[in-house]
Amino acid sequence: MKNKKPEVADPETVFASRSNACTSDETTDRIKNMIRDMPQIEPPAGLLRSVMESVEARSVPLWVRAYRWARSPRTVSFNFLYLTPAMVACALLVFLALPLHKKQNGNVVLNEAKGLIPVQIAMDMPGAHSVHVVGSFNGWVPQPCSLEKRNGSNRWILTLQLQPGRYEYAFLVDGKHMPHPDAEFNQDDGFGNKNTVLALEKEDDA
Amino acid sequence: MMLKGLFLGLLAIVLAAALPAQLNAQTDRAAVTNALAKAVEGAREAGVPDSTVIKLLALGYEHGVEPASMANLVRITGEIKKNGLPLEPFVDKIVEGVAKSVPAASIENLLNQKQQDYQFTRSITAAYMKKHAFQQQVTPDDLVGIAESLYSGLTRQDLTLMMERAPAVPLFTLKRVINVQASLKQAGFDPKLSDRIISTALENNFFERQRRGFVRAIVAARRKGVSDLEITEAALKTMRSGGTVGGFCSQIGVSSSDIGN
Repeated sequence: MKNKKPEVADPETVFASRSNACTSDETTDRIKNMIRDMPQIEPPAGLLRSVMESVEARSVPLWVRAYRWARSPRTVSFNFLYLTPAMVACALLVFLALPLHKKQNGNVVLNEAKGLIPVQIAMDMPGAHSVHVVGSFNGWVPQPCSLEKRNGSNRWILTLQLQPGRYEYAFLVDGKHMPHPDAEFNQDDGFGNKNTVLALEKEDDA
Repeated sequence: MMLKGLFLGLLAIVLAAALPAQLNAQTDRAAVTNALAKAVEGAREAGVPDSTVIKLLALGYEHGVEPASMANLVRITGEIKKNGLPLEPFVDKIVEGVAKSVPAASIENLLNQKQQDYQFTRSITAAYMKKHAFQQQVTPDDLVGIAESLYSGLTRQDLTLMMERAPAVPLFTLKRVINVQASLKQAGFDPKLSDRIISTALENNFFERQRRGFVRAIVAARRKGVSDLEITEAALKTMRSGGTVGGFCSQIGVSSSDIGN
């Protein structure tokens, strides 16, 4: 690295600065005297009010405040002693909600109308990881209708509540489309697969 | 300078090529929108409920079906309604096809074929009703139940023959009998023995009272090694004596758990 040479003040420049400083003091004194000798002028009426109005705090809409609040960064600090009760509460909530979820999933109520017939769909499928049912009762969408595996067996079961009528359905076993292997009535779906037919009559509600 | 001229020339060529294409695309889009609007209007005028039309349009939008294809599907629902056929099985088939990502053209073909099958079924059912001097109308449920057997292994010829041979029984009983016949055919049951079961059931009005579990019991018995002949004899005996499906099950050694009851 290159060493920088220290700057040395020029004696002539120092003198000129001092001379300027003296001139400046004189000017200031002259201005002070002029101001002191000026006549007193009354301020215009309403000056105070207009000044106060312009500096008065304006009300900001709620959404702007919320937006500003949301955008402003926050620092969160915690310690594990304070975090423990929150974690316990979360675990308890999940533990309580799980049976409720299982119950709802195992007994999907697709239609709230009266006169529903409980229908249990069951199938033995060893080695399957997931079994869903898609059909005309759920718009051929598998999400709300997954079968539950009975503990210690290869039997997958789902109970539906359906109105009397004619339905077609199929299983999605690990994503693969297949009709009910034990159904008494299957038919071509017209698209290269087979669907199982479920004809529910009022006498079936027994 | 020369480079600038070349660039301007290229830009002019691209614009000249792109502008008509854009205009064509806009014209096409307007034509498709117009076709869809016409199809919706036609379907509504034919009596297709608004809720059904909305359901189909929402389904098409959700699954990214081309508006032109959707217009055709909606138009077909109007045709079905105009032809006096039950709408539900057709709408269900559209929903199923779209949900299964079947090309719209295949769904259209299927709907047209289905329309013909339903019209055929309606005509032979009307002939059956006329032959036996039944006054009541064919209900949509009965028509659907009979027509759909054509996709379960029965041919038009099978259906015609059954209708011609069947005695005067209520249509819902005939529908059950036809479905049992289709199930037995699917199960590979001996056709001659199957015919005997069906004709005996019709003579004794067996399926007017019950049917639940009958075919499942037959399938379970066959799995256990009971022969078709033994099953048929037990079935005929049950039907002639006014027995029940439960009694039939005991005769062929099938328990209620075997048939999932």
